[in-house]
Amino acid sequence: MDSISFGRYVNYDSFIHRLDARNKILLLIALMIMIFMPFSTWSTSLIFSLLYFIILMILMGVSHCSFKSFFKGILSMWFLLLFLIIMFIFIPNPSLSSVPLYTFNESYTIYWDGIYQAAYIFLRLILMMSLTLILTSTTKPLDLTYALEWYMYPLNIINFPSHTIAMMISIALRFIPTILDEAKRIMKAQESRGVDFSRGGLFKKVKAIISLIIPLFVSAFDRSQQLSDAMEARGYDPNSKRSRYRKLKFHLKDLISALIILPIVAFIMYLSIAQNDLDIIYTLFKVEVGF
Amino acid sequence: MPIDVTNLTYIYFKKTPFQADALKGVNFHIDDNDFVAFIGATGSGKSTIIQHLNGLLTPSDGTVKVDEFLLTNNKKKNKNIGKLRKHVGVVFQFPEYQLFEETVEEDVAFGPKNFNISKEEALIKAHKALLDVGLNESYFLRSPFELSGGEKRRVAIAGILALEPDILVLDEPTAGLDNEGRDVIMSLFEKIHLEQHKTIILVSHDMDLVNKYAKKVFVVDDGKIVAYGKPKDIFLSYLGHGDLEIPQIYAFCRLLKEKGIDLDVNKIENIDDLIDQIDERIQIKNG
Amino acid sequence: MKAISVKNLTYSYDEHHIAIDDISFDIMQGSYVSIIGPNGSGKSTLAKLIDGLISSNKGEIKIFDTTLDRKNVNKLRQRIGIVFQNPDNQFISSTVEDDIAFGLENQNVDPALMKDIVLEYAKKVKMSDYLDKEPSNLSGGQKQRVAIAGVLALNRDIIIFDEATSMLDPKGREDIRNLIKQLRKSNPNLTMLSITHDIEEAYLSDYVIILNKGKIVKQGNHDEIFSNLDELKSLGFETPFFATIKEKLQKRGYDLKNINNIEELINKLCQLM
Repeated sequence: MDSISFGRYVNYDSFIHRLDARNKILLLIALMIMIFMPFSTWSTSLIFSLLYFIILMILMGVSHCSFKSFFKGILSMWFLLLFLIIMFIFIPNPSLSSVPLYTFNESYTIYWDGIYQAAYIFLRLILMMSLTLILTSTTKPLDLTYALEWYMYPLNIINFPSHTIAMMISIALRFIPTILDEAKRIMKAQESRGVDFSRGGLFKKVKAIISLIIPLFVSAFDRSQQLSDAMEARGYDPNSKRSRYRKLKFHLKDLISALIILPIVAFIMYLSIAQNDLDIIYTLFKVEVGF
Repeated sequence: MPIDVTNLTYIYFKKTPFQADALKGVNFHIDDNDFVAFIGATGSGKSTIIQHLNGLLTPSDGTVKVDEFLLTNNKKKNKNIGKLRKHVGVVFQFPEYQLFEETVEEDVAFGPKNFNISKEEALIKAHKALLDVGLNESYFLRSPFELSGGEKRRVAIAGILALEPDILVLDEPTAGLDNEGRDVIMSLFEKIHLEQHKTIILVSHDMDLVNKYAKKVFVVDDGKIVAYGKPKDIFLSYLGHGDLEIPQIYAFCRLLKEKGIDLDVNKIENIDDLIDQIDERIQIKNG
Repeated sequence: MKAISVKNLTYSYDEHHIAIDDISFDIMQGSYVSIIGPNGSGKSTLAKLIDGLISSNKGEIKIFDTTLDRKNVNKLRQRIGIVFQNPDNQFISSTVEDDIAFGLENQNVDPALMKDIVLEYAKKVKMSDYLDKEPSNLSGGQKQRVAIAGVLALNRDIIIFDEATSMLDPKGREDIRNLIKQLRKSNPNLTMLSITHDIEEAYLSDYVIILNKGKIVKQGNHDEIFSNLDELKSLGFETPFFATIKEKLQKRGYDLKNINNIEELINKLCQLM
């Protein structure tokens, strides 16, 4: 039940809701690149990431995202977190500059760098999640599809079926809740016939899943046949020119937001690429951390 | 198997922004070998109630007691749910969508096999159930997907009957069927009720069906049971206010009542009674 | 003028299963015709044939005097709209307004005009308060009303209701019946063809075709069909409630000739009692 609420469009009227979906996708990609720009030291990267984190949390607040479902989403990644910690902390780091934190039995050393790295990667993951969450919970799925189609438009020159793909995505988005409901219904019907979806040996589990999947497929094929009849009956032809009910509009606020965010991203990219030896702690405090 | 439901409360999407009360303290008792119906508007909570009867849903509060099986909000204690499902068979709306095996007989035998009954015995039960729903040997080895809509539904119903449940719960069993299909299915359930002494619990929007078959009716509104009794008594008690779908004859009486004409509705069982009374009234007025 | 003319139409899915067996009938423009029959009588196949979703083995279908064939099917289809049985599977877009607009988009209607058209037809089916709602938040009856709005917005000359009410609850069914009644008044030139097994719905129409096992068992105008309830019963149909009461009262000698619906009957009875 909780997974349904994560990332679902929430109908509010915030500044971010009102931005053009195309603009939001552009900024999302820019910000993702920004998040992934590395800096020469872990500490600098970490400090930048924390800064991004604060900004994104503010943006989430502004756009009325549910913090609760966000944190639940993070908690559901506990396995990944554990994996990262084990990966980076316990696997020896051969880098010479690494500072040892603790040494077991004189032979096995844990380094500060490993901890930095694990924290940094996890933080980046959270940042990615919050970015996507902001996009999906402030943008109607249909607008997202239109925006994607708009971006794919140039590909039409090489006969790329951008419209068909956009239509497929929008129908998929439309039918996901319907098919989920259907799946729940079939599960209940089969449970009433003694199927146990949560317990039982491998053979029983396979049988249980078959008893769900086959009816689901049969009804999905039925649906697609009926849907294509309905679309055809209303004059749908993928090859002819269609007009658009929903117009994506690029407003002044889109321009302004892009003009603020893109230069920041560009500046950070410049810092990351050109100032390869930037150590923010060193620069700001003239203190050498790392002995 | 008698059913006792006490203070049953159910909350959908608990602890999420979509939280909604589906049931708000439902109490009822159903006797062994009874034929009852739950009626009410779409979304009133009827389907939520019946999904508690075989443990598909766990109560948020209150208890459901079916014979010796007890369901409470403590999931760990509801261990016997598996066994309960053998005793309470639920036929969902449009059950033909649950068919999946290669042959009709295997699909019907699927249920019994899940309750650790041997393959041979399950097939025997399947054949009996199929004959009960009026599908003869020629259907046994056919694919369920090549049957007509009405036949598929009968196969699906046989799939529940083969469990030999003591209580049969039917959610809109006649939805989408034509007149003839409806009669066939309903007389089948009546036969099962009378001959095999099973308790039948019907959920339906078709008030003429409810009036014809049910012995007792529960009216569900906004997650609560607001009235129960014999079908006719219930329908007559709703003559005064128009918020419940009622059989056509009584709806007609309701329209007359709105115009200030009170017929002796207790004596009306069918259209002819209605005509007799109207005729009589007019004769009296004309002297 | 004949809106639909069907002559010796035959269709079979395979050698053993003849779905439509040598059927002929005419439907006049502006009329409301019901095709009734049990499940599997071939009703839905007939609807698909008329809309050109499948093509016949034999016989011909004329839409406004033009014979339907492979070449002109797309053009003729623009005169026909269909409301299908399953409310979910004909809701194409994600919200009510987008779904009403879907057909308009296909016709390349100017986006500037679309908003008003969508609103107009949403109002017509009483769904204008639900424009931004998603299908999962709507009842079956509401979804069917949206489908009807989507068809009406295209200004089709013929609307086919293909079992459009069979998956609805009584409330939804009544809503659709009332909508049909209202359409008859507001769009007198609109031809409506309803394929149904709801006898109460068929009772509203002016011409009825009774189909069984792919053949026409009986056809006639409203009075011809509903003045002989015994025959209707013998064909396996329920009789419409109002017609039954009316007939029984008439047999007792009451003159109800000009009484055509339940409201009029109630008023008449109030006068008499």
